[in-house]
Amino acid sequence: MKYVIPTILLILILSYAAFVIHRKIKKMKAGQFCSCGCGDCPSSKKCNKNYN
Amino acid sequence: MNEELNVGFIGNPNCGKTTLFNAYTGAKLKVANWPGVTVEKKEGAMKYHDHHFKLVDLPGIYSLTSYTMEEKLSREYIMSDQVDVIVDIADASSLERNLYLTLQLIELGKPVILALNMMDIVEERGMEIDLHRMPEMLGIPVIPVSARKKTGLDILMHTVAHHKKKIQQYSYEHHHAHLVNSQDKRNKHDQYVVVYSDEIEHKIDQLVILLKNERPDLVNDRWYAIKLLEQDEEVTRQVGLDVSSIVDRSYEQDIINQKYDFIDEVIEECLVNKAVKEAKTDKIDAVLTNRYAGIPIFLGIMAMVFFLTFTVGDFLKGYFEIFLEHFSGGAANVLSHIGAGEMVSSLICDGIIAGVGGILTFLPNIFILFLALAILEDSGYMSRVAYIMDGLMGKLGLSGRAFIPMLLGFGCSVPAVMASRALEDIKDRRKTVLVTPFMSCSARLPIYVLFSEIFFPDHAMLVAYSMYVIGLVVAITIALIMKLFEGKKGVHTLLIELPEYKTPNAHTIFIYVWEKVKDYLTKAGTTIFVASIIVWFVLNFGPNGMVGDDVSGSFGASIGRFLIPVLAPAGIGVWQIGVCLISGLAAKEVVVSSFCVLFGISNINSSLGMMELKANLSAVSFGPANAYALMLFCLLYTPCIATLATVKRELSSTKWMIASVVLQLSVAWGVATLFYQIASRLI
Repeated sequence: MKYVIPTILLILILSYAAFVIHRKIKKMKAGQFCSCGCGDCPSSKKCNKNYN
Repeated sequence: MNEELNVGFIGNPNCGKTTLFNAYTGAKLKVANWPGVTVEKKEGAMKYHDHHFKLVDLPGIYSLTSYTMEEKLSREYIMSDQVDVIVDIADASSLERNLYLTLQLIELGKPVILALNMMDIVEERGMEIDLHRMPEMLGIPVIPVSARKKTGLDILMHTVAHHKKKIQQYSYEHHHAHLVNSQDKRNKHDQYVVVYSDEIEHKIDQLVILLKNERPDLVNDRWYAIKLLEQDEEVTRQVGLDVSSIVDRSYEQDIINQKYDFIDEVIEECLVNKAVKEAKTDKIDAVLTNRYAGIPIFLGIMAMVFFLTFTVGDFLKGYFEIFLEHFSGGAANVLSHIGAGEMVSSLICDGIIAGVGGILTFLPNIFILFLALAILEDSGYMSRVAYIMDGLMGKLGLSGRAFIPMLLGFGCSVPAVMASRALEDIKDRRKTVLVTPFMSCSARLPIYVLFSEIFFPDHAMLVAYSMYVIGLVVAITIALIMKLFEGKKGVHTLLIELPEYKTPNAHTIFIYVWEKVKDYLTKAGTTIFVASIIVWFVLNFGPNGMVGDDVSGSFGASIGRFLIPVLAPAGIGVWQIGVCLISGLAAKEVVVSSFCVLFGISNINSSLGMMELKANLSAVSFGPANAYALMLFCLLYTPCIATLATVKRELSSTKWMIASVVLQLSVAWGVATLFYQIASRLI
């Protein structure tokens, strides 16, 4: 019982980290490389489309 | 009456055409490419009373010549039978530039309506447009609209609905003051929107007679005659007649000049209070874009930006430090209370909180930097920088337009590399892509702030500023060396819009800065969060499991030691620094986060945190010269993975991506080593 909360905490942290990595890889495969946000990006409108 | 009308939206870039188009079409928008090319084609549909409109958003163009793909497409589309009415959207606050396209459209002989957009800006600037006189001079309806405020939209569509097949709505009433000495007895002033000089009108008449006889199939002979006089390649080919006896040379420049003479006349008669605004902008530009003072002023303004970044930023960061200290202490207590083990506590406190928290304390500096850049951008100054740098860029074999991506690089390298697409020449684009990462992005700012304040407390701002200047100098030097190898002697021209200076809009600046702050926080919560966990793991675990307090047996230490022989000549041969530099590939902010995790300092930006870091580094003989060399290395070495991926995509080549990595690592090592070897002997 003593270790339940810390274990849950650890699982949550690692799950979130895995989710972030998964989303980043998915975005890069879709051609969205921006790590600084889309505000300045001249291709922000196209980044969800396939690159030729 | 149920009728479908095909309406083409055309206008200069940045005239608000797409905003207006989107206001009408909303979600009913289809985006594709024009057949056979990569230019985007946007189509939409809307209904106004009994009329169904099919709207096509044509590419933004300045004129209907055939120099670019966008111009060719627009001209072909307009001349086809696909369009019933053309809506020419003009930026009412920059009429001179926009009316040139309007005149060309009217000369084409198709139904045209002029939509004067951005009327709200015209009013803000105290200008007024005579909407009674302008239709008299142009012969077409002129409808004031504001796409941003959504005013005038219904009236515009109402006009479109009733304008099909109406080429000239009003009879022309203009004076053509520039033709006061005209001897032309035929007096075409009430027939055509633009009447040219006697010489050109005489040649037009001759060509029209020839076309009527030889090519009776052509509609609008006058337009074809004008194009033949301009020696337009496409029209000359299409007409297929020998006109050399009439067209003895290109009259393109004469025709352009005379169109602008008429535009001056329209502005003179229709635009009120314009002179005041223009005079102010001209006076300011006389100083800021002065041939000799322009670049020093630019450097001075950037120095001021850094002054504010450091002074105001440091004032605000104190609050963040207090919060972080309390949060860190509170988290440690809570973890202890719930019985968290050593590993979980270390992960959360020494890993995540130290890493993410450490980088969050630099948010005030980032905030001030972007606030200052936003003010410069919105005031209209940043547009001038490309113009100022054009002369220098020309000597490097590039146009001033290549400086725009480099300028974006001060914010982030990813959009900066993407912005190189604006350069048409592939070699120029490649060169720009390769040198742009040398411009110090905002992610590197925390590194400079930290090390300059620790090792150069009295000159911190100057030291950090020097990084930006050195980055610019290195970028220029590399571009020059590339030019020497190329041996290319091209002619580069710069065509750029210089908007009028204006008081920065608080709302616009707020939106811009808020986006940047949001991006920074998002990055802290995602990339830096994950990178901190990874760095913590490699530093606390080794081949034999968790290493405890002595991290020298960890995976990180092994990786770092592997790099010592390479980094030692540059004064940064410390294994911890090697680990931090590698972690910087995820994002440059992670370099600072890694220092936090490495040395277990949660509040690295505080006085205590800095003292602790300095003590740790001094223990391995790391002094000011080493610190400056480290900053130089961080400035110049490989940017983040996102930038590398963008380089690969933009240059469509893994080979060039690898070349850019090799270039950046070589330059970083070379410059840092050179500096350190000299400085260590002098100090």
